Amino acid sequence: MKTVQLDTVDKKLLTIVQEELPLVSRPWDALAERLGVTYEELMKRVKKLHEDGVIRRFGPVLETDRVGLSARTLVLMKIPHDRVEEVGVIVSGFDTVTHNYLREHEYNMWFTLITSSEDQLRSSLQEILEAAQIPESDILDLPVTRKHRIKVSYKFR
Amino acid sequence: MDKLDREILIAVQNGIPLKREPFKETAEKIGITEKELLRRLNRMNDEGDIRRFSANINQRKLGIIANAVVVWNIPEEKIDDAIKVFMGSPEISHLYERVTYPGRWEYNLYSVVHDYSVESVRRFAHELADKIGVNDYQVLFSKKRFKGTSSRLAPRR
Repeated sequence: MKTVQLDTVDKKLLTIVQEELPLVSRPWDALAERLGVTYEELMKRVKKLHEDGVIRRFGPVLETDRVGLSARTLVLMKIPHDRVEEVGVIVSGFDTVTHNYLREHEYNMWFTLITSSEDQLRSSLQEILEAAQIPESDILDLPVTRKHRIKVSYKFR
Repeated sequence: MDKLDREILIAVQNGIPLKREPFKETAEKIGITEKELLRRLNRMNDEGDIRRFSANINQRKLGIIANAVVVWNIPEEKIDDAIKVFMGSPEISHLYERVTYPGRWEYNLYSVVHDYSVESVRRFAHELADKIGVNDYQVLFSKKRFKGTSSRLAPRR
């Protein structure tokens, strides 16, 4: 993948917007003022970063516990090497699965499940195991016991 | 959160338009004023239904290509000190304690680390291990991302 190069203004811009976009009628104007550039200049940069795929979107990060998505877990699965691609696609096809990564470990597939109740979580996991044809003995179900931080803040070079 | 709040979140969760007054269009679609929409978004932001309203960044496009979950087996008496150290490290985006399965899976703390290289992630984990005096940990890089979406509300429940 080609790496997108950032200049000083882009870095400042990304450092601010990864934390917050002002919730006002003209958020880009507020941002432009903070960065000491015109609205036109700011918007040109935002659109370029969006086209280059650096910024996926501007939107809310939901506090899942508060918006009705309160049941979640991390599942680790042991998948035979020749079934990794197939099972990866099956698991990721479930709407309840938000993240699914292949990792270098005996438990090679790691996915997060999120639903609005414990019952739904259990039944969704059962459906996934059936669809993927993975026995329950080959998974680890790892719900959170204490949550400490969820905050992505990159240092841009 | 009422029904209208939920409708607003659904309308903005996939990204607001890159226009000078991005909330105007969304408000019109829902049939409320821009002022009302912003009032509600700000309230949800203040009350914590929205963790933050921000840019979703694809860090890989910027060369931040190394992503690892570092799992730690930390004895009970060291866990609070370890968490203090981890919380002071901006390189860590996610930090959770999860259930363990004694004899089968004893890692109780999970940290997600992003950086520009595999070496720097390894070095960082090693430094953390020294700081907290724990040697039982694994740095598990992602080999493939099958899915990675943020939590979204479904239009109907």
